Amino acid sequence: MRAGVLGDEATIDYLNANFVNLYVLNLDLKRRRDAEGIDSVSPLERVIIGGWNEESPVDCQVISNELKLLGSLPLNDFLGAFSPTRAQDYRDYLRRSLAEASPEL
Amino acid sequence: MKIQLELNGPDPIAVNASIPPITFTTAGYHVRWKSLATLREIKARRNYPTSTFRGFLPRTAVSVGEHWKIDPECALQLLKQLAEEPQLELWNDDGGGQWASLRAYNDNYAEIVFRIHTVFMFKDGRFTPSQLAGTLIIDRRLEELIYFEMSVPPGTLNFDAHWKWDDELTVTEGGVCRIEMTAGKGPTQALAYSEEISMEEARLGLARQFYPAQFIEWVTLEEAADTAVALNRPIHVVSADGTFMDESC
Repeated sequence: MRAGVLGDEATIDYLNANFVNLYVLNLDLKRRRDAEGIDSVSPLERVIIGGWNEESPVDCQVISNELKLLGSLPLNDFLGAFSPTRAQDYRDYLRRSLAEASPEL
Repeated sequence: MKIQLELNGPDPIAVNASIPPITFTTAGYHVRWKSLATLREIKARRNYPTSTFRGFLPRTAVSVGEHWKIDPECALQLLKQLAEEPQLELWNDDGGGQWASLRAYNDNYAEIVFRIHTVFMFKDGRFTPSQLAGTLIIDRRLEELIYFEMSVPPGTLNFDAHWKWDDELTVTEGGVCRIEMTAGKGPTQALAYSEEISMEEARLGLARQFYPAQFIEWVTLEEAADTAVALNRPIHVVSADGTFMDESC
């Protein structure tokens, strides 16, 4: 993923121009949730956890700046389906989510 | 300004190495899997010729922030103090390599930072540290090594292990290890350099040599929500079981 979808130059430019980009380790979120309870974690963490796909080790989510979950892509399923235009497919997923976040665009 | 870096100091250079017992893995394999349970440094102290460390220097003059590849043979010489069978070729399709960069210098000293990715092979599996991050300080006038350190940075997870039960079944998990090699003595107070970049900038520059995705402008969890409001942008989140910025996934 680091070298593939997210290593694609056009995708990097698109992400830097349109999104605030965040990487989180699920184990960190689980530990905080289990230690302090779901109501004690930050609102953003709560949205991320709520958007997890079952059995998915990596989810790529889009969350509005009002903290509404707009998309949650289970990455292994996405990568498992053959596509010659995978990086473009990922940008399309982002674009659809972005359109939902800012319908005026 | 570009500077030439040289090492011609006296041999040998003694290097201390340490791998204390692993105390955490996500599924307890540090107890159940003998190769992981008994993972220790091969030799706590070993002498090296200066030429081993010369392999960490650039062949041509460099400026601050410039990158070059470490001589793989020299990296392997050191790694063999840690493991019987270290390899520099990784199993996945990215992430291999050994890179160094000039972080800072003045008339007397130069400080190099570097990052090595390696795999320790076992007869029944393999162990992949997240990375080996290091610093090397040389006395430019004497052309001697002053200080060398290389370690696996701390983290929630900082290694990846594959335990091969039989021909069919391999299980994977992450955990936390402490691996360190040192030589010489670090400066007792911060050196005043005439030209430098921050350690954070230097480390990011190295990471970008390994992973193009590091050119994405990542923010921390604490920064994300406020930054999204300030920039009026949505948040793109990669939420992963494994770490994303190194080889421990």
